Amino acid sequence: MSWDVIGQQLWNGLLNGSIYVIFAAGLSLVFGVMRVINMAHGELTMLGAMLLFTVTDLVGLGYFTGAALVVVVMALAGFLVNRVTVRPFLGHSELVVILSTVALSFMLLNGSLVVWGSGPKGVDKPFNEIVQVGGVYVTTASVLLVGVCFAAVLGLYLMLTFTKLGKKTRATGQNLLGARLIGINTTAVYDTTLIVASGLAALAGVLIVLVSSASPNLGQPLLITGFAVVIVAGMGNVGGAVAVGLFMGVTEALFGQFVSTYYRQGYLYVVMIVVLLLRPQGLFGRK
Amino acid sequence: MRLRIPPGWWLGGLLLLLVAMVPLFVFTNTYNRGLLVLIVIYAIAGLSLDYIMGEMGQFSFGHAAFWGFGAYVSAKLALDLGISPWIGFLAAPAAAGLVGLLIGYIALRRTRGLELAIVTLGFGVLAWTVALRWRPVTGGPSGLRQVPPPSLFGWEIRSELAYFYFALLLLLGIVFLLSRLRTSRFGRGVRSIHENEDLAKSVGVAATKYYVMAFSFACALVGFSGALYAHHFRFVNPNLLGLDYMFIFLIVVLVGGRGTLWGPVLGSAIFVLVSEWLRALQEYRFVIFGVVLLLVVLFMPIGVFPALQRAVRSSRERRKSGDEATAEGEDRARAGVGME
Repeated sequence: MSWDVIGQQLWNGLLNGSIYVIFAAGLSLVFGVMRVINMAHGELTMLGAMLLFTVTDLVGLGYFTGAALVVVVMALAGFLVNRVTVRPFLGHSELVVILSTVALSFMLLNGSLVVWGSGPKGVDKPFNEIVQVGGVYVTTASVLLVGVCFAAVLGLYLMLTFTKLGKKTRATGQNLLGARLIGINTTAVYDTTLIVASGLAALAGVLIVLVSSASPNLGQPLLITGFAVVIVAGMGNVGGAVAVGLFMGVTEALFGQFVSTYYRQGYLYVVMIVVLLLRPQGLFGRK
Repeated sequence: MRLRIPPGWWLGGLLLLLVAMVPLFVFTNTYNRGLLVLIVIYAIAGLSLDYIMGEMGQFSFGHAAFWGFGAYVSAKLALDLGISPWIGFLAAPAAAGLVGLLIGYIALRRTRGLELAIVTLGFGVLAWTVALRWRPVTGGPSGLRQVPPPSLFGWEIRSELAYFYFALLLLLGIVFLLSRLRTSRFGRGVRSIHENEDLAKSVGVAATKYYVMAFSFACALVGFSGALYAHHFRFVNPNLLGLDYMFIFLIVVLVGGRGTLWGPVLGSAIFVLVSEWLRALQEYRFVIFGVVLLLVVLFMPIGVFPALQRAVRSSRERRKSGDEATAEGEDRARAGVGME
């Protein structure tokens, strides 16, 4: 086996890993702040991709305008997600919220199948030259993908660490009652958390079409992969999700190349189960 | 007093009697009778999921995987080894129960609630992947066909009507078993962990052991339902392990009513009949199911069956008079609230 093959798979893994990172970061954020498992996160990403297809292919916007529009609209839709499927159920048990988001994901998935059909839809990429870097083939669109992913995650990190809103968000995640006591408007924090998370999910969606096609079925597998990442990292740990997302992407690609293409996805769940056995709180979680 | 039939049984029993009569008068063609079989099979699956949701207060997203696993086990035994479906009906729950024991042991040692839900989701999807990819054994995406029906004294239970009564009998047995299990020492132990795990541990309930056993039991039961499905509809494929069926079982439990014995039975009937009724809407009906589930969780979190029970009770109380009757009624109403 040549180094070129390994290099190519490392790059492919980095590509997938970047998507896992940005996807899992949103999932983990919602869990960390609200203790809510958003089962509709994958469908939000799917919707991002499908809406981008619609605005570029049918309306005729360019990729960048369309992507920006879709991300903003989906982020605002995050407010609705919170008010319709999360907030009314917060008083009940944690499981009820899972069920309401399951219901939402079911509606979005099947609604999209009705609207767009199940076939994959290609979106015109803004540029797509193939560059050879030391034996590894890289498309310029995929470089954009990796760059935007890292910028978004860095932005999320800066927001959570340094802004007032970020501090409020972290305080709410650590202790809801305590946050309320010191005068934090936790309702607004919950709203913004889902707005940010939906925006990240949609961003993942508009980035995915740079390297593959949009299809209503892309949400579910991504959701499950996202869960594997979040569990291995430790639930609610956004920083851990970034490291684990990249690791999973790269090792999955290597696994697919050298062990079995067939069981590529299975590999992630096996990693998840092994980690759970040895370290149930996740690699970066604290007990 | 000892021999008093529990209140839920009257309503449930009446319902069941009606259901038993249905194929003779209403559902007279083969296709419709097939729906009845489906109701019974989903009801058993719903009952087993409800054991996890209602009794354990936990949630498993991998439950459909055990359903599909049971179906595959029984189908595989019958197809490859020529083993009678009757043995398959025993082997499927045994196998599903064993795997459930193993997975329950792994998952329930530390995880509860949300974590458990995701962990079981991971296991479920892993099982689905294996069913899809392990072509030589599982037949890949198209699954296995020509699964033989069970036969009794050389007579194949192939007609929808015969299979319906056969499955209905089993369903009754399972409801009875579950009602006994709930009040048994084991069942009360499981409930006590649900109420307050630390307190239960402090009075000597081996919480994890009980939960692992209860989980394994629920898996065995759903595996059995899967085997019933396989030998009636005579095929298995990887979709049986997937999230679509998980969603169906969820609707069955939630619409019917969590933690009530007859709830999932009613929920299953509602689901199958309404989805049949909406068949003309094709893909839209799944969108509608999503909306329905959301509305049910929002406005009727206890489910249809307990709501019916309450309505029956309060109308009965209105007819009664006197302080004693009112006091008793209040007690009952309170007990009803406690049932959730």
